[in-house]
Amino acid sequence: MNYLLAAAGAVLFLILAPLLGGLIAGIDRVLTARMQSRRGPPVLQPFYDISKLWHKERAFANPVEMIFTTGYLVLIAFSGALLFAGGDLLLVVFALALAHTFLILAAYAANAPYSSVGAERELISVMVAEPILILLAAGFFLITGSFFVSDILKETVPPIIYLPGVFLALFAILTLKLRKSPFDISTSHHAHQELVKGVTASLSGRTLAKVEIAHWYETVLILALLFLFFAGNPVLGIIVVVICYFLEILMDNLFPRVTWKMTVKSLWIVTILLGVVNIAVIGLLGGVIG
Amino acid sequence: MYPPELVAILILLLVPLFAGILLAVLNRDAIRTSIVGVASAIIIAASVCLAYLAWASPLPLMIALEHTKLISIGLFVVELVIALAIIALSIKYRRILPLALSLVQLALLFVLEFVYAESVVISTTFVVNNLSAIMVLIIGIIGTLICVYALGYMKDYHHHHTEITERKPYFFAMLFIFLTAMFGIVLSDSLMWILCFWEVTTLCSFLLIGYSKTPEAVTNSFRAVWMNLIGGIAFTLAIISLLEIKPFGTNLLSITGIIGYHEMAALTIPAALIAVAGLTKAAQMPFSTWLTGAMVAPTPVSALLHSSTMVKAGVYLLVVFAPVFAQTAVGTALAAIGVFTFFVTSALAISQSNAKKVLAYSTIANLGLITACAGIGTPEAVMAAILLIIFHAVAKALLFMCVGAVEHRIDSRDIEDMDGLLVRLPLLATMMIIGICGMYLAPFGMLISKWAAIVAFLEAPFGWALVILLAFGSAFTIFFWTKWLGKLFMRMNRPQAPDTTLHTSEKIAVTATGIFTILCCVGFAAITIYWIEPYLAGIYTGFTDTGAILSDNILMIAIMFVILAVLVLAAHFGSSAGRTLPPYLCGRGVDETGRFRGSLGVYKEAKSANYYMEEYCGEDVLIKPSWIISILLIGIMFVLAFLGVMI
Amino acid sequence: MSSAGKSPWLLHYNASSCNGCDIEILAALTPLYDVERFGIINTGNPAHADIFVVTGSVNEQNKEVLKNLYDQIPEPKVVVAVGICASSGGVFRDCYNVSGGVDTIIPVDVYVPGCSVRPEALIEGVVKAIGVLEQKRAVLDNGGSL
Repeated sequence: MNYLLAAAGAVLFLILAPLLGGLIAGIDRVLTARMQSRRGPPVLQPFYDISKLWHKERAFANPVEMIFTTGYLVLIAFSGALLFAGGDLLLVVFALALAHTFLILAAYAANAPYSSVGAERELISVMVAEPILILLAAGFFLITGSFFVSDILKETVPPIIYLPGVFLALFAILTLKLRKSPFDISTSHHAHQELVKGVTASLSGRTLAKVEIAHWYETVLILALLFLFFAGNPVLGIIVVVICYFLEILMDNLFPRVTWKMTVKSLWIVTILLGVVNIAVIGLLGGVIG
Repeated sequence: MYPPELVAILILLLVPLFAGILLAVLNRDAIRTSIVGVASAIIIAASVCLAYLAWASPLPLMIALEHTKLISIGLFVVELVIALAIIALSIKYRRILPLALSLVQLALLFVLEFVYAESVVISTTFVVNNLSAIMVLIIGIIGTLICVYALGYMKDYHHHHTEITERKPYFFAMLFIFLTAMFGIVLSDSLMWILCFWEVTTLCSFLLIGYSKTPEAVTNSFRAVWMNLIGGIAFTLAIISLLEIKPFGTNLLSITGIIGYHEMAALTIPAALIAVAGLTKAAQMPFSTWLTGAMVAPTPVSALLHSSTMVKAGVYLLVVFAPVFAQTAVGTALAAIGVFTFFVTSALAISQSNAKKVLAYSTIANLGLITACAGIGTPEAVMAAILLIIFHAVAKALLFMCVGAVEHRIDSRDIEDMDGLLVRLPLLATMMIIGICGMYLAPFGMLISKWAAIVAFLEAPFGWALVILLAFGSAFTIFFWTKWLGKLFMRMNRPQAPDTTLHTSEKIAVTATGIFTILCCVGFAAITIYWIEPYLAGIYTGFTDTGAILSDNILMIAIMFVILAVLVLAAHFGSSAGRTLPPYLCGRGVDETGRFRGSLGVYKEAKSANYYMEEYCGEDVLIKPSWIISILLIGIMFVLAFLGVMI
Repeated sequence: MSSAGKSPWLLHYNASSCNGCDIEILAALTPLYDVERFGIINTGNPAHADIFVVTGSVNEQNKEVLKNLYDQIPEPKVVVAVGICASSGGVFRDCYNVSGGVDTIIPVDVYVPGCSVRPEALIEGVVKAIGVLEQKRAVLDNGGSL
């Protein structure tokens, strides 16, 4: 691994990802408004929100929320930085799970009904996403012989050729990760109010702001995972990522929220039908390198 | 004069035995405490010395003992006594299945002793390589700490369960004899001797599970014994079939002999039989119910059975045979059983709110992972297996001890009752948190090992299929551990536990194990490089290092540790200035115990429980189908063994 | 305008309104008025809110709830009494079970009268509230207390 390049990737991610993520969130809100024939807020609205939250009074249901949300933010940023440094995909997945554990613990710590239900549902969403993230790493390993993003990026044939099923399953998970309908079971964006924001119900001010920023980091991280399927063809990759995000906004506006059971069932059916079958085929063919 | 390593070995085998006998005879709390303390100190010292000697020696320590013939006869007599004891108890309690199986086992032992008497040769008595050294450390340190913990625990146990007759001398004697048997299993080179110690663990676990003599305990102890007898019979048959091979110039009854044997194709049937023996001891599907039933016993027994002994004997045997599994299709089938067990029992753990049962299922799941690694049998997989054994032993022992101590403080082992434990019982809760994090979170040990397992699987034939099951199983693991962890961190809405003082023995054992858990996690790279890789290099010719996992990632894991350490420090020393808001209940007033004021002015408790998903993960739903699947897999394993399919 | 004013999040509580004003509040969120233009979000959670919008007069049953919700909003916060009932108790002010307007329980910063209020008036009121919010934020930022 070229350490200098890796460090540069990580630093660039740490600085630029929140800017990009915030911008994406702003554009998302404008597009959503337009789809509902509204004007919508300014594009920079997410940044105004964070700035306001940062100046609110420090209030919490349980003081450990401050540490847990900081842990969530730092670890999400860490896993993203690891990805952009060309690091190990499995470690990225594990760090991501650790980060979400912190968010879930923050919600549990309040010991309030809405937070608890939010925590449980966030936990379900982490559980639902975990298999496909591990299978994604496994799939990349089977075709490139390495878990390292830096090695995957050296591929000349885009991995999507071999892993279309895994890609589609990840796209389905994206809906969950971006907290979009129909899978926004634990908390949601914009004006949706079920569970009074579920997992973030007891957070306010700075703790809430940290969760928002972490979400921006995560958005960029997940989109980068989508991009990875088009390694070797960056232009196509960016186009596909943009289309995917647009489709997410469209779905968000078309679907009502489903129950958590429906979420688990539908996403795991997709994971099994597309992801598992894809891995099985690649595995039976002996991998591409093997 | 004996060489130092032999002295250490003899201490490890004889000190627990004598301590056991003394404890059985002397029944005074003060005397018991001093015997347990002194014996534990000696055992810990001896195991550290032996482990150091094994580590410092470039080759495995091979020790020949005189009078092996005499000792073998002695051990045969022990086996007879065990079989007769089980037969007598089966008759007393009118249990047909254990009786029948014991009779079969007895017959096989006679066949082995008299028909094959000529073929049995014991040349090397003890072999200590790095793997057995690790096992010695686990048994010697964790095992004795559990015995120390039992001192305080048993006082409370009889205080809480007045209906149970107090039989402490018997209890402590069994614990220490158990340790002797475990040392015997991991130190002996001859399969004949291992078989004897193997049967001793079966008997001890049987007697310990039935300690309370309640109908449930009796039923569960007999279940444990008949399942383990199947393993014993399989083990005996494996020895007989190894003797049938009659190789030229190789002693197949010696583990070193088997590993060095070149015609692996001849070994498929013994390998399959050994696999069954390992599966029963390690409580893999379909034999899992004995371990979940074992939790009726006092908690030190569960801690001992689940973490450092009994089940570890099963996986130890499988890991030792890994080179044989690596080249045969039997190994692949075994790996399938292991990973399937991991998948199913992780799901089953979701449906449980009884903390001990969650721990039991998680134990079976992790043993499944170790079994799978042993079945794959490549150096990378064996490395993952050994790491899993280490991390699982410390973290699980810690968790059991915590649950046991917590149960006596809050009168419940239900996870739902553990909310706010961090405030109510800070030390125990902190240790419990360390244990839980150690079990499933990055960058702690178990996760690193799981990661190593994924890498090893992907490089093995059909490994992708294992990874698919592993991916879903890991998701379940995250679910059941996190919901438990969340309960501990909850804001306290309940009154303080009335009596929060811990016995000194409990405090020592729990704190020491907690520190070990952290040390193992921090030192995992050192353990891998300095302990496991030399072992692998000795077993697998051409093995250099397992680079893939360590290189480039050490730094990242270190960064994660630093992040966590800073967060923990910040939690302790950081400012918590700010306003505490009451829990949001739609504006309803909440009193200091978390109850809200209803419309009629009556205060009601607002309580939210975790999800258990019983309609999907319940025992009623999952156990029977998984028995069928796992029995089918065992059948396939035997078919492959008889066909002698190689990879 | 500081960020406090650019991102006012609302908490709406119906004390004992006839729902007339509530419908108008929801109307303000619809495409025709689209208050999200000003960054306004209807949060439904006091921990997230900046502006507390209350409709209806306060009665004995809900004054405790009103007080709790107000307390759970982190500073700086502004209260807007929407509709004549919230402002003064309206026609219900002499009822045996009614305490009066919102200001009998919590301090009110902006009164928006009307029965029911028109969305334009409501938006005007919220924009006024934003001004108050910014003043309060400025006081807090300079180390003062409210």
